[in-house]
Amino acid sequence: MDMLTVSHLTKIYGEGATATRALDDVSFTVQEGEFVAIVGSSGSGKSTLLHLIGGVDRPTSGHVLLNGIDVYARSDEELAVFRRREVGLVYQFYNLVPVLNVVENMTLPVALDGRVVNQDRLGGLLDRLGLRGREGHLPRQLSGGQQQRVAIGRALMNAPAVVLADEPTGNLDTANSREIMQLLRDSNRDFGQTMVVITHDEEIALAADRIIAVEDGRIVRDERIRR
Amino acid sequence: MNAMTTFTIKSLRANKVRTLVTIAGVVLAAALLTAVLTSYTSLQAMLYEAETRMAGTWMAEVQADDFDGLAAQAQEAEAAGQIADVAYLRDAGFGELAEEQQNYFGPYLRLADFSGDIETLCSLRPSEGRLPEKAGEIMLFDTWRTAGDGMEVGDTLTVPVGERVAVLAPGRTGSMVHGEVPANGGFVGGMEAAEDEIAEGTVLDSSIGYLDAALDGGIFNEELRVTGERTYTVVGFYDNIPYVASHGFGMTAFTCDSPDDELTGLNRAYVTMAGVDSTAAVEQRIEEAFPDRYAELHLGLLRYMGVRTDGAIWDTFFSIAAVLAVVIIVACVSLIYNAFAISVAERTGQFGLLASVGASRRQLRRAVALEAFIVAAIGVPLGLAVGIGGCAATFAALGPSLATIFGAAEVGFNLSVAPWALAVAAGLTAATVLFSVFVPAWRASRVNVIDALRGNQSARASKRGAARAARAANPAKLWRGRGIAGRVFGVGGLLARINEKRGASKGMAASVSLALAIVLLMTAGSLSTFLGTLTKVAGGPADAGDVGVVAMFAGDTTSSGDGAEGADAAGNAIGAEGADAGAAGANPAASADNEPLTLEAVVAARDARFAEEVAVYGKAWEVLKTTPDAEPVGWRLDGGVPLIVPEAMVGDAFKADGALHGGRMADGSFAVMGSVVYLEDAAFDRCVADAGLNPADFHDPATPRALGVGKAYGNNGAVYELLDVLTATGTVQALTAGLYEGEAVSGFAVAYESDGANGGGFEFVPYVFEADGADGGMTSNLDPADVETATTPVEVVAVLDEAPELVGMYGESVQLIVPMSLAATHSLGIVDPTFRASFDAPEGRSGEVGDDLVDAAGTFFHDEAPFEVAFLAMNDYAGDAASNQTLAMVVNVFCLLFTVILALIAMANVFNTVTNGLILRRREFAVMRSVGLSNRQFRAMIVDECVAWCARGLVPGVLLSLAVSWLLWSAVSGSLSGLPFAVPWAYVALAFAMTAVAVGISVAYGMHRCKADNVVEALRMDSV
Repeated sequence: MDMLTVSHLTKIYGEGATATRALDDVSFTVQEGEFVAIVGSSGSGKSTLLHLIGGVDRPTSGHVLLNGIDVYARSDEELAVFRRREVGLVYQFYNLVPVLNVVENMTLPVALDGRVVNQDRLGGLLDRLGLRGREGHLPRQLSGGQQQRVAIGRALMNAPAVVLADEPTGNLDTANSREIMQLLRDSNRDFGQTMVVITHDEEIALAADRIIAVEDGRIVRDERIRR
Repeated sequence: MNAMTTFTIKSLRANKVRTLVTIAGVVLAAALLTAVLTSYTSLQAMLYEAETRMAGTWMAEVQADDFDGLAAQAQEAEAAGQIADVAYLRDAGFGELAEEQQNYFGPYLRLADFSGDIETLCSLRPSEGRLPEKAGEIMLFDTWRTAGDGMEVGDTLTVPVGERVAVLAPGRTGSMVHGEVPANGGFVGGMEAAEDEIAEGTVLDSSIGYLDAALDGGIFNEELRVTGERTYTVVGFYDNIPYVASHGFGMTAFTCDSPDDELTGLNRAYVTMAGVDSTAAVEQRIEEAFPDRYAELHLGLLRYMGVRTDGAIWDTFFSIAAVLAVVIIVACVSLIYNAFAISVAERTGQFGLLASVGASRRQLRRAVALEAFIVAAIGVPLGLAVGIGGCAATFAALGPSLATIFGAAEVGFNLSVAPWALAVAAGLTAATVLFSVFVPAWRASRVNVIDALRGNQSARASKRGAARAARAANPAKLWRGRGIAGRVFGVGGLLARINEKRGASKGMAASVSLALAIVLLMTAGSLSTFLGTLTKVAGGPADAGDVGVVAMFAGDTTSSGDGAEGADAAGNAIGAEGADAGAAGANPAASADNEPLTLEAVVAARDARFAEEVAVYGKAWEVLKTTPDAEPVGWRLDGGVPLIVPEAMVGDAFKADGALHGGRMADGSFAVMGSVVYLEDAAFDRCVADAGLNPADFHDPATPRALGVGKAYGNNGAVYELLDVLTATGTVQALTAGLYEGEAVSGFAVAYESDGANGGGFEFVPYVFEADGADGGMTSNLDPADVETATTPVEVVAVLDEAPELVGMYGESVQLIVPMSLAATHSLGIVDPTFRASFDAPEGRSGEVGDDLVDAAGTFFHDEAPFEVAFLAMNDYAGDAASNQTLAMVVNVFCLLFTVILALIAMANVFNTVTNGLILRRREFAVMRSVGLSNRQFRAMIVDECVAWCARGLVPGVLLSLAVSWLLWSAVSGSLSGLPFAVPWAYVALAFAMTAVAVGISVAYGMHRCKADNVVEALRMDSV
């Protein structure tokens, strides 16, 4: 089943002569439980693509369907709800809220949704992410790898339709990078969590089921390497 | 241009709004300081001008007996540059005046011979004619033209001249040392006392005041020993009284080139100096140039020259200025500091980048310092220009009014810019900028390269925040129990509360600027409230009409002895008050026959005299009505009357302790020193008709009927306010006369007797006034039991809420109003009533019309009245009201300008801190929004944070501003006692409202900026 459908997505920044076509008529689908890596050089439009899928930006034209529902047909307020329920975002620079501790950062989307935190899931994630004993730490008391694990925990907490990760290892050393990729891989396998990971590192991309290569705002390659 | 300079300039350009706000802050600060200092220098310049016009430019007066020695020293000093100019004034004897002339000119005609530029140095200017130019010419005081037979330019004045000689007072022996008493405390202070030994027969020079043992408490009187006669030609008159012309023994006449034998007594040199900057320097030069001479300094002038600053008024002025200056400086420092702190904080990443590519700490500090320099270089000159321009515009608009207020209308209030003031304003502003930059620059230089590059904003959480975060780790309690904020504002509120508890800055900057805004606005408010009170107090209640003529005849057996002396003489009495009714006039005992005097006869004589005076005043009114341009309003007579008032009628004012005008007597009724107003019949009838009564009921001579005024304006012990004096109708008894051992008593004082038979109470104490040639008379109290008294019942038919227009203002005690027709038969004990006539005058001419009216009244009384005039004057109500309005306008304009400028600073500060505080956190907001924070939740979070900032800012702000208000109040009340301290609640409300609006606008703008930011862009800000 198509979990995610991207059709004719175009994003143009600026106007007139200075207009930049960041995405140019991009279409693809992602199946439920699939682990997709999007690769491309700097400025190829892969981050733009991720933000459009995640509902934090609006396309110039085209559609994104998540579970058959058009993301951009929603109002801003609905979009916020969509983000907190259906999307988990992981950034290169972790982007944790500095005044919130580990568990608060992880459960922020649940709290924003006004729901009660599922203690079993939280406990399971803490164990899986190796953050036991660090529940009350503030981000600045954690290492980079630990911070990224908190960010992944936040993305997974709501069991979203899709987890979108933007260069999740870009800021980490090799050991930490491997560990983070393994976590994402495990989540995909164990929870059947759909994943879209942006990277420019071919080695990391090889951990995925499928690699989509983007260049100059267009898909230049789409190959399944596993399954 | 090196890389750092380029970088700084580029960053200033890139942040146009912030750069402009910062420069605007510097401009405002410099402008405000310049304006305050320029107002001060302009005021000083005006007062200096006024002082030189009034007293001349002399800086010191040196006295000497030998003129030649003095002149030689002066010449030498002038050659040596110690003094700049000198003029001389030499005693030339004292002219003898006829007794009548002494009333106008003082005991003698003091003759003074001048040389040098007396016009500039001593401000001696002819108002008519010219200064004497050769021997035998004289310039007289202006009064000589009109007083007595009159004198014109060209007339000849022949006057016996002699010397003043000390004579021992009767029964006294010995000698005394007479220390110089400055003629006018505000004008002159002695460097050292000149002491003269005075003995019988000592010749007195002009440095010794008029000797009168009875008045000055000494043992000598003086007399004039005439030695000859001189004849002068009058060549001019002067009408301003400069210091040199004003002496206790009479107005001075000025002559010149007198022969040496006429120049006896003291010689004075008036000198000016150049290049002195302190009182001590002036003193030192005088001591060097004129060793061992007695000298006095022109302190008034030195003060305005900036050489000396002290005195009561200046203390008030300076303490107000000091409070304002501190407030302004704090405001400016905060504004500029915030702007720079934010500018640096916003660019932490940039500094990290610069540091990573090899910029040293020193270079980073210099980058910030350069930014400060550029801002100051643009802001300070602009601020000086704005400040001077603002002052020029304000003075141009208000100059004439200001000059009038300071009594220097002919000088005018002009812009006077002092270089030192500009230097101080510029220096202070620059120092403010430097200080504001120091801390951010230091912080910038210590930026951790890695943190800055990683955009690691985790530093935002405080240490205590980490401990709190650790405690909040229990998963079961997650996102719960955070009180009211969570319930009202939802998750947004919870986030706000967490941020507040754990954040390092806690919106401190915003709270501080909010507190400051409140302080600034309340300072402006307090200032205008207190100054407003000052102008209101200065205004006071007004009488009907534009001008009033006031007159009183003198009692026919004594020339002085008013009620006040009676009160003083009551001595032991608390709250004693003399009775105006008490002059010993109209006392039939003066008649030759020895029939025993009866009370009836005393009353009858007083009534008769009163009726006579009323008839004269009635005619005077008819005459005054014909004065051109004077539109008659009405007239009345009034006088003090001791009243016995039943308890049921008196208001609370007399029941309170410490009432000044009476209180409960032993028998339960009240002794009140009231007043009775005889109002012209037509006006009285109108009042009666207005009260809904029949005028005809009030004109029966057999039963005096009156209207009472219910309220009085008086001091209740703390503040001036309206007091209840009369609450009900009824009959009061007017105490019309008293008889003691066959003689009429002079009057009654109301006094509290603490040892009275019934445990104390008020009573009327009769007193007699004994005319005694030796010491001017005295009063002695009599035992009420020995005095037979007469009373007249007066029925108070109605109690009015306020005094009728023609009666004008509220009295200070019970006021009864009766028709003038009653005056033909009843004096109610009043001897020599006060005549008050009111007129309207064409706008702006009330003063002239008033003078005409007084002239007309004077002529009429002189020609027609059988009584001696004790008192004749005019009140220029319209003129007073106009000048009060001018004062109020000036005060209001200044307060408004001050308020507006402070409000601008306050608002700019709030805007700066709040918006920047939000913008600095936009990445954080973006993160939250990317994980699903909705706009509504975002707004709730920000609003909740704002409420917290406001709460933290407003409370200390209000407390601090109360302290500032109190300081201002202490400054103002230093020159005005009885001013109550009041919290300017209206301004508190206004300050709250304005601050709320400023916060609202700032937050709206800040949120707009945050939202306008693409989340994607905001999230990418983590890189440089």
